[in-house]
Amino acid sequence: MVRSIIVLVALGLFAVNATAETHNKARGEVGEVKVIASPDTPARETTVPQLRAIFAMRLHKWAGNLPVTVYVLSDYHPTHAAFSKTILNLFPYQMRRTWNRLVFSGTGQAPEEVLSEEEMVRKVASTPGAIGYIRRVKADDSVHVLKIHR
Amino acid sequence: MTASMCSRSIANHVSSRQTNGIMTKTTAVILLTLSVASPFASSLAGNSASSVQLHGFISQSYTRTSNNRFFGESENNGSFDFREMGINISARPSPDLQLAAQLTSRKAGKSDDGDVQLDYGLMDYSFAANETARYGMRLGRLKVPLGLYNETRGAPMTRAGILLAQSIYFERSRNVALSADAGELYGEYRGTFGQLSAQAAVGRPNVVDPDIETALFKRNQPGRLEDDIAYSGRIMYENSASTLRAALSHLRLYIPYNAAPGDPLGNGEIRFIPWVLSMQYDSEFWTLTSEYAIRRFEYSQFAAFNDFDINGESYYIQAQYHIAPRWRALLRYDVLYNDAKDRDGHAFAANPANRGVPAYSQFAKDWAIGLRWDAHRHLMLRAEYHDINGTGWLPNNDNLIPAATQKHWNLFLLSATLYF
Repeated sequence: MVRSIIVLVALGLFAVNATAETHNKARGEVGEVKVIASPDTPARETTVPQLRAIFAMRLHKWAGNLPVTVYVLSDYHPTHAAFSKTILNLFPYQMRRTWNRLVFSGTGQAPEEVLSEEEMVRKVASTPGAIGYIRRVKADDSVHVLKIHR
Repeated sequence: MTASMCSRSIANHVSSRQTNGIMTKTTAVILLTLSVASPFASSLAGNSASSVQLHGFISQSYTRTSNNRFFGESENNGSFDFREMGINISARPSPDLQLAAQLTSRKAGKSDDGDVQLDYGLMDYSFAANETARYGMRLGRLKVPLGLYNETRGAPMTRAGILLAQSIYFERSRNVALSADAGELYGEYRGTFGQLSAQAAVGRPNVVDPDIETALFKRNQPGRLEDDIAYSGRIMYENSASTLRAALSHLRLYIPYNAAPGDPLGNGEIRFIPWVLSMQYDSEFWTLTSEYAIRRFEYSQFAAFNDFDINGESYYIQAQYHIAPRWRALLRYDVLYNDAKDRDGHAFAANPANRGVPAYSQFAKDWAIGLRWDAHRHLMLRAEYHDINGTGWLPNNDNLIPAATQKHWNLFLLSATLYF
């Protein structure tokens, strides 16, 4: 009895949640994902392997020893999903698994999470060595858009 | 700033709860550490962007069994005797150096008392790091890399279920291969073929565990098991698309037994030598995982019996279905044999020395289904149901009379985990 109630409640919550996710997805379908970096980073272009190493928190410095600071949106943000899949060719759950493994074994750190693309641009612009990504919001002069060689 | 405000409110919460005597001392220690550490962390973070990080979790589970006890008195009305907490801090003073430490507390029936432990405390230095390769060393208290899950098994969010496959990741005597005071070398190389990584460590693990004696000797003994040197290593391959990974891990653990005065067992040594082969496949909607382990035990030099070896065998097949971004379902079949030459336990039960210990204590076959809901970026809720044949991994200290256990049993769990 208790078990069936739990299952029913869980299924109900799932239905509501799944609908919400679909809406988010539909709303997010605008533009192409751009990788942005703070103006002081030496990089003007990058490669997919380099981005994968940076966002997997394995590559901690730019050429010239400037520390890398990585900004991401939440796991469930449509721009994060688009960035993971189209640029890195990874699923968001794989990225979270990688970060959790680093954080809870003491062998690495997680990226900094921001709440919106606007905050992403502000943080990347004002943090030395910062890197992030945007899709809905346009990049202004405060950040560099990195050209990605595929 | 927000972190420090949040921690202050937690600290107030702790002191008010403590006066009611509801909160345990342990909970207070961890939460107070958090409240002291986080303003420190945020002030440091203000100076150098994101070099200092603080993460943690608090998890409360409910267990209910049809019969047999799992984490407390789980029969009848169930048990809330399964609680996990952890807090960690990490800093990168330079891009090549990381310092990190984690405190954990785990209350799990009679297997774990909830005392605060230093889970890891280490420095990690990279000699060389670029986008294709990374080499380095770690020193301090390190997590033991065994299979895909051992290093982070204390953190509920990293586990495939509320419980990991018990045939390999025992809850009883889990402390044995959890972390070690050790030195480790590691290397990673990436090419068009994919990624290859390897690590090897030498150190001294923490063998002191309330379940270890009963696990190794079937009953408590007057003497003491000691810590000794251990070696561990793992090699892992990941394909270039990052959809497939395979790993082989190995551990050699030496556990001397110091006999008590008049102890008929005499001094002796037990070697625990597991090999774990792991495979994992990721797709958009599915993660399929399988691990196979041979767990070799060598008993030598004891006065009470001749030297002998036992090879335990374990495997599981696990499917996680990513129903929606916040929802995951789990299906797993998990098998444990204490002795690969005596899978049904009949030879074991026929031995007069094991009188009163049933044959079904020598294996366990577990079908599990589960559901995970990441309700919020800081909250995970889970439900899980197990249908189990055999008591091979049932915690001994929760079930002191082996003959009073049941061969077929069910286990139902619920858990709520807050984390950041």
